Amino acid sequence: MPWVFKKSTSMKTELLETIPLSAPETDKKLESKIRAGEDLLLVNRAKEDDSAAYDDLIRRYQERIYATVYHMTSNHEDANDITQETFIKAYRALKSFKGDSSFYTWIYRIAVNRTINFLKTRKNRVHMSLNDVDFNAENDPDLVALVSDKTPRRDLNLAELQEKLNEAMQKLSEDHRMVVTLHDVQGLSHDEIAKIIGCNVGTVRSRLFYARQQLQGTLSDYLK
Amino acid sequence: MNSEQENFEALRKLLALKKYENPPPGYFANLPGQIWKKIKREPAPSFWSQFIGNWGLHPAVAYSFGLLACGVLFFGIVATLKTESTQSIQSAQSIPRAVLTETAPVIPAKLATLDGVGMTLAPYRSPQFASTNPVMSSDPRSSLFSGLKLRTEQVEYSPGR
Repeated sequence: MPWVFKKSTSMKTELLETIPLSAPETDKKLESKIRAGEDLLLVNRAKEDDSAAYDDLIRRYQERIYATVYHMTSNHEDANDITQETFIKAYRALKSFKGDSSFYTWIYRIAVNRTINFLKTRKNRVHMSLNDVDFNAENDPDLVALVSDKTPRRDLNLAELQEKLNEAMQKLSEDHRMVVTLHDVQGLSHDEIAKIIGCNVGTVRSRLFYARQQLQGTLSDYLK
Repeated sequence: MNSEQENFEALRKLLALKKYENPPPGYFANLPGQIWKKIKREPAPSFWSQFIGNWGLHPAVAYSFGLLACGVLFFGIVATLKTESTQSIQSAQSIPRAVLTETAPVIPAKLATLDGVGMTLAPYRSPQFASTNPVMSSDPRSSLFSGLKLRTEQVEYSPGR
């Protein structure tokens, strides 16, 4: 297994990274390893009551955690509560974090479990409280094309499309919605999702396929 | 298959709209502060609430704990039943014969002593609840039509001289 070495000026070979790298490793994987290493340093500092380190961890992951919970609940207030609970819970459980998985996977898992528990208690009382669509969406060529050409109602605006999309998402089961959210909205890989949810990659793929089929059926009017 | 993939591609483009749904401006700037406020305000949960709280994070722990609890319950029941049966056997065995003979009612000699066959039966003192053989009840019969009231009682046999 090749190692990455750096020669210092004093001609001493110094280990740059202790992580063994296989030849075809992609930049993305390397990036995630570096990120995991940085997280681990912050976690170790946070374990020693360094609040600034945990603050850094919150700032690193707050947007992703919030987005995951928000897309699952379609409600800003619920997403806000669950995001806060997730970080509080993670802070309290930090001492038990052994580093078997990355902090990223661990915190995602907390968020996912809390969200699913919340959704089970909320069953049949879906109340959407949607965030505003960023004005950048109007410049997204794919979305512009969808709104102007493909929808049956040409005058359909982004806000209406957003509502239809969220309604369709809420019709999915929690497990299917989670996979779609993590993969198609958040852009996580199948492997990462499998680690977060605690199932195998095949299950993730099949859930994703089924969820997409279901969404396709619900949103067929907007996909022609 | 191709059209299906294309349709999924269209769906993915539509789902991309969700990326543009953002919380109110300044939300993420304030969120860490709110989290810290809650951490400082709320007391740390007890060991048990943390332990139960971890069940959501580690379902295996929850299943193991459930299994352990069921196991303890099962062995508890089995142990209790075993102890009860052992105790009843021991208590039955531990009643001294002397006590039994002292406390047991004495069957009248005229019923227990039979001298017709050349042997004498010693007066029998029966233990009240340790009967094995049928003996005739010493209670007087209320009428001719009431049948013989036989009950099983342990008998001590000693051959006569």
